[in-house]
Amino acid sequence: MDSLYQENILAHYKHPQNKGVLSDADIIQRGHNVSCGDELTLYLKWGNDERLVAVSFEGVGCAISVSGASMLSEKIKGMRKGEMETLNRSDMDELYGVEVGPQREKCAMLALNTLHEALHTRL
Amino acid sequence: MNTSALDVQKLRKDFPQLADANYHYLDSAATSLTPSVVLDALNEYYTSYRANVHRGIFAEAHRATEAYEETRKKIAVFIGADAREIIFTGGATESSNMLARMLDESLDWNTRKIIVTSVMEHHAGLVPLQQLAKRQHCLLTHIPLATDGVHLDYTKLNELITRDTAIVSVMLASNVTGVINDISRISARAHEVGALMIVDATAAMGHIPVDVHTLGADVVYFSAHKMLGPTGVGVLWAKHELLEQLAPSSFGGHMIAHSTKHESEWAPIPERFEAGTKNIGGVIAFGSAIDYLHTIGITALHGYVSELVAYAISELEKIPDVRVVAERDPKKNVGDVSFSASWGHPHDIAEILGRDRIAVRPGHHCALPYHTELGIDATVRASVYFYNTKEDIDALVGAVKKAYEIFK
Repeated sequence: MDSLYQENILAHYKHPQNKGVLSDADIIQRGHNVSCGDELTLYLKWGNDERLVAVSFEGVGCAISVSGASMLSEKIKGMRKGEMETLNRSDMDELYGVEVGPQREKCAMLALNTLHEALHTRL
Repeated sequence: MNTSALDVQKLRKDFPQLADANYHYLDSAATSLTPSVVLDALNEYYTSYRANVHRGIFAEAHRATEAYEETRKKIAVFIGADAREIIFTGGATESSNMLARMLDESLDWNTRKIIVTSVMEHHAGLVPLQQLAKRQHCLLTHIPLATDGVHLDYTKLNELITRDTAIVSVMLASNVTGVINDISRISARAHEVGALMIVDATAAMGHIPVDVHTLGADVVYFSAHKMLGPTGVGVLWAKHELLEQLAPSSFGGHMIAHSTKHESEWAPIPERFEAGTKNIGGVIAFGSAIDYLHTIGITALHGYVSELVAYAISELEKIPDVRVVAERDPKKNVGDVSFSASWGHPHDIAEILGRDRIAVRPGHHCALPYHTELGIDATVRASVYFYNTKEDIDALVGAVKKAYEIFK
């Protein structure tokens, strides 16, 4: 197996979870990596108890950024905003199951950075 | 592959970075490697005659000035120009920005309100024009692509370039596809309507013979670092009669003839356009790069690169679902083979290639509007220069096949 492109990363890249538009989203947040051309749009919908009840994403990007968005979207469903704010790079590495090198830092963090932007700019 | 007159194995020894035979540098379109003679020239300036130019009257200052001015003459010969028309800058991007500001001040923008460029331009050429168009409330239009997505649609020239056109600015060669544009055809139309013809020669210079008058250009700019020279050095060439009409856009030491508390008068050309202390060591070393290119011969160099380009295109296309985005006539390609693959993203492909010590560039290569026009997010670009070998291409193709096995 490849050292970076592990089975879970490839599986999420080829068959991303929560991919698509969420028509009744409360927040639509765009994120991008200018140098790579990666683009991500995150759709978030809150429940009454400040928990995330629905999440989806759309966009184009490499295996690292797409699988990251897919895995993160699974992880944050049902989370409270405060919990999401504490997520960081090591949580992403945990999802990837491998330490993504500094060259791919922007790819690895695109989804989480976009999520944090959404939490800070909402309303 | 044995038709070439170049002794590539011997030439490779001139490049310290190529000492490792397992290293495959295919990113010369981003920046070329540096031969020892260029490093030696830099080292000699910094260790034995470092001095500012055009100022001191001690021996080292005299020698530095001579060497600096010698490069100006070498470049003039290299591009078929007059040495007084060569302006040193910090690179092609600085040349392009300086030029836009010079035109800003000097052209009559009331009568001509259109700037024409092409959709394949590098951001270094495009963005300063966008800003110029905004400042002057001009229309910026683009020569479109032909249906092959590689060549410009020359049938649109007469329609786009009219008596209202102030400037036409097009790159001599694309840094994505390597295509060599038919600049003389564009410049003929530009001059027919009295517009200025600007040529971004950055991707072409040092790869194909360039003569500014054959191109029919009024202005040509390029960088040293894409043609064996050091980083931080560029050239802005313009016809002398045009330079006479252009106002300087950068001010300071060296560019004035006389100065009082409130006013200054400009120095003669080209000093007028070279404010401050330039990258003296870099300019001198650039002269050594030009000498080195002369010894190889640009025509022979391009002939050899063409063989590798043809080989790379044909081998890459054997891999399933690979789309090559390059000029297919190798004689009309400066050395760039970009490609995309339906099964993998360019960054992932480049990652796999990087592990096998193959240096390529993934992304849009500072030509985002061009990629948008092609409907591709990004490409992988393998760019070839004379120090590359068939083995480099084989390594590239082998690693792309590996990537295919992972992502298919």
